[in-house]
Amino acid sequence: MSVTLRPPAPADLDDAPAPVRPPGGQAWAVLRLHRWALWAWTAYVALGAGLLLWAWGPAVNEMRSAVAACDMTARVAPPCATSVYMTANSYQDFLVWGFYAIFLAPILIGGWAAASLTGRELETGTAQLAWTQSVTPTRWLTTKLALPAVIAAAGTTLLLALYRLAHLEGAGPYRAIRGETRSWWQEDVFTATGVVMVPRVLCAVAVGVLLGLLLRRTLASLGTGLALMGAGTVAFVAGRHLLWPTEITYGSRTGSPMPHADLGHGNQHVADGEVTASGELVEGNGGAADWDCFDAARRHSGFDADGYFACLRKEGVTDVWTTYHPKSHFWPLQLVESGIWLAVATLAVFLSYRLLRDRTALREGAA
Amino acid sequence: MTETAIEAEALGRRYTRLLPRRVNWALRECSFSLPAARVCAVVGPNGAGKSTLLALAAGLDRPTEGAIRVLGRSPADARERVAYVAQHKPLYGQLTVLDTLRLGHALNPARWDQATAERIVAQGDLDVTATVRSLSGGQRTRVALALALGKRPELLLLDEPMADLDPLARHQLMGELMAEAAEHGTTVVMSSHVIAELEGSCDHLLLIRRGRVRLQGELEDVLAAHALVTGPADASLEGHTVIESRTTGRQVTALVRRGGPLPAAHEAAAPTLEELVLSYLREPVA
Repeated sequence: MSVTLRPPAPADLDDAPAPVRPPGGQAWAVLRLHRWALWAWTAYVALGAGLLLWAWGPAVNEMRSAVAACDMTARVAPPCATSVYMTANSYQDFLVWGFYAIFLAPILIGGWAAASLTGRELETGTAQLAWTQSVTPTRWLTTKLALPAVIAAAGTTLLLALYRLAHLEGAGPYRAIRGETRSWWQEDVFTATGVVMVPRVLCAVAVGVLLGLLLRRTLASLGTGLALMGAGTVAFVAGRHLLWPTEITYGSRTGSPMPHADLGHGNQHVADGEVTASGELVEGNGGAADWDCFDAARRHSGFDADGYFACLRKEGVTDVWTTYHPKSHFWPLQLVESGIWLAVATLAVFLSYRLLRDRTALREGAA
Repeated sequence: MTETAIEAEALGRRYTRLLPRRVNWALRECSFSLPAARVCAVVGPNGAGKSTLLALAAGLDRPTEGAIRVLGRSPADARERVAYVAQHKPLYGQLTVLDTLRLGHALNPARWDQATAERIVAQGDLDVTATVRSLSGGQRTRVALALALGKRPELLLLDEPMADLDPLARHQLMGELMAEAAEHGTTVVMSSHVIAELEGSCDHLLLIRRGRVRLQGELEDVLAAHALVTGPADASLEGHTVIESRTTGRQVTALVRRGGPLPAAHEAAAPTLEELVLSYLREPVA
């Protein structure tokens, strides 16, 4: 691009057409205005991708060669086992760092979108500049929502794909070393191998834009955006198990005094407790009655399940229960959570358009 | 081109603050019509409602009551043909001057006149690769005007355009602005409380005070309709509307709106725009 302007044009050139430049359009405008944010996001994704690629390639290879070089099946762990465990730890560390890159993205995007996409524009008055050009405020908002949403979703999808690669590639050797992999319901596996992250970043952009429009202040929007997306994320970490009806299992059916202990790693334990004489499920396990009966039912020959349940009945407890999510609940939980994020995003988008419409002049016939 | 640039009918804009509750009418019952292809001055003290009026015309706000039409259409429908420069000259600080013009092109693809925009910028002797953030107040105003004029507007709305300029820059920029406007037949509506900068450049006057229109019309007509009279304090000025009067001893000096031939006892002179505007602004509120 030329860095000097032509001197004032002579009068006879005044009517000459303006030099034709590629009409960048609004997309160019938004990308140019948020150039630094785009670079920062690229660097962020590159960093996350680097961590995950390291886990996928070198870390998995190290695990494989360490396993091959050391006989882990011996009854007493050989001296080489330590270094084998270390390769598994290293692989897991890279995977977890990659997970954090994915996990934190929507929170950061929420804060950025609120502060930079709309909050700052309204605070400095540049929104007024944008809204008095030929494009309508509605088109302006559409570009501000769509372009960052696409870029954020693309970056997140790339990280998710790489996580999946590394997760699948490392699962075999990792299981060979640790006996089991991390389970589907654990936060890292659940969010990074599922689909919830994409709705989450879309929601972050939409909610951020709305917050900026509402608060009209850069810093206030930044703080509120970070706080709201953070709170939303924490809410799902803590309460996700409520999103789908749980399965229940009873001790009497399996002959187990502690059905929750028998769930295994593949099921997500939700709650457990006792069944009272009236048939009521009472949450809370390990009451005095349970423990006394448990101790009484222990034999050298094994556990006397019949004796245990008979003892419980004497104490007014007819059975023990556990609720849990089996692995088949992975997709229902994913879809319900995604649906909630998307619903919030849709609402935020709707409110943003509504707010903008109420703040600027109406088009004829649009009343 | 339509005959009327801006037409307002019983226009009102109320701002409501929730806590503590306070209702404030920035504009109320404003009816006026500003002719096209003219330079119209919107004058009034700070807080009179000038900025609100221009924002309504630019489609950045909605009237609480009444209606405003710009170039014969609603402000939203006239958006492409209107340019607006807000009081604080908002520009993207991180963009260079060149990129700011490119932004103007990108956001006004159908109308953009790069040559005009570049000419305005080039006359200012500023580094076009500098970011807008690093410009002085005057240079910033120049870039804002270049962006507005590059749109080739039929109506240019300027809110206190020269407020942060030194007298020299003000004079120069005003000259360039008027030349551009005259060349393209652009209607200019600008608000100001610096009356001196309007004298000689504007030909239509709209005086707003406390959200209401106090005076409007062609500048010549308005000036001709008023007289600055000096005469004995006991002489009657009946039949004329006294806008402001000052008694010194037995002499009274008054600015009146003529209601007919002035009494012979008085010496009459044509008021300047400044005298006229100041009298109206000092006039006690009824």
